[in-house]
Amino acid sequence: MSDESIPRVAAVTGLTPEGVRTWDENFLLELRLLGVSGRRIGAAVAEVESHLAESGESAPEAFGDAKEYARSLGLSADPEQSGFSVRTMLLVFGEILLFSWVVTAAFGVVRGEPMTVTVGALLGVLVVFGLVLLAGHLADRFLRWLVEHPVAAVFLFVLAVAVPTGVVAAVAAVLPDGLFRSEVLTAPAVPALVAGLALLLGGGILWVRHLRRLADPVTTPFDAVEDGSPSGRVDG
Amino acid sequence: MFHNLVVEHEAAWPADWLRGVLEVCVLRALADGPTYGYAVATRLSEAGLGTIKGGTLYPLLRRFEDAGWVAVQWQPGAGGPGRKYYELTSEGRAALEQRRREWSAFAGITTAFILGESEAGPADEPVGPNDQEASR
Repeated sequence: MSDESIPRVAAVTGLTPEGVRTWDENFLLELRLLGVSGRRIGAAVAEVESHLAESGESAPEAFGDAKEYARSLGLSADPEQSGFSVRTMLLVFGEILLFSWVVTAAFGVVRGEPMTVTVGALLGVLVVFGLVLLAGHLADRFLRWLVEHPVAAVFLFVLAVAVPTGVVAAVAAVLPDGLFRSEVLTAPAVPALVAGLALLLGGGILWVRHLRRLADPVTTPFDAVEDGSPSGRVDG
Repeated sequence: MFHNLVVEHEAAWPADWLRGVLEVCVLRALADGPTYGYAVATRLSEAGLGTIKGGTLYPLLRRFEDAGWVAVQWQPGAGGPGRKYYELTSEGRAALEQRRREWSAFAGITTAFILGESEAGPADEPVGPNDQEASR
């Protein structure tokens, strides 16, 4: 591999589907699956590039199999990379609740009736919240398998949507009509809709900011210095 | 089949020999001041240890880092991707001194034993080429 053909870190992070994964892509993917932080991944990629630029070797020549090399580095997983924080769960629950609130209020507005929240609607919110957490947990746990079996992953996704929907519908049909429809709260529909939309929007902004914080981009070892952050011992 | 005993050899040393001695050799290469991975590999190659691949060297440097034997710092390269410099810490120097003593004692004993006069017997027969290969 010549110097010019070695992708820069920035190029490696913007992965493009080319059919076959390159050594760099496999290396990066394996480190991601191991839960290594973007900063440490960037440093590991930069060191590979640096070595190849000086030795004139190809990556497989100098480092062997990309996955095995990634594992041999023994980089520890970043705790922020896996599982859900309380903040994430609160935001997910808030958004589901607000979305249901807005839909219910909108129905009220269309029908010209006050908004009514039923036991069934609240149960629905809890069920959806539980399913989202379960799906997130399973996806996190079986991420490697899902990445390596993309077709099966699509089938599983369809099943994951269809089966719980069916179960919820069946439970709703079996439960006594009165209990399911008994009203918990009644409110004027238009103010409820306006308030719901405003809160939903606010929650959306919080959500985007939260995701940005979690994004953990792959950075070069020099990004921190360029950003004006304190330099010194560079980890990775 | 005794070419491995010649210092100026071109073939690679048996991999399991290198595995044992590489740690102390890399520590020694780092002892002359802050340096980077490729320079360490070049230094070892010039010393006659053969080509040490990046796939072997960097995981070892990584272990040194985790053990606190080296401090690291990135230096930007002129148009290149930059270099990660490794510098031995006091813990690293202590580890080098300890391994130096141990290896030197081990090598002395081994050399004295294998070159020493032995009683005549089947053990004196030269090692066949197949046995040599099997040890790689």
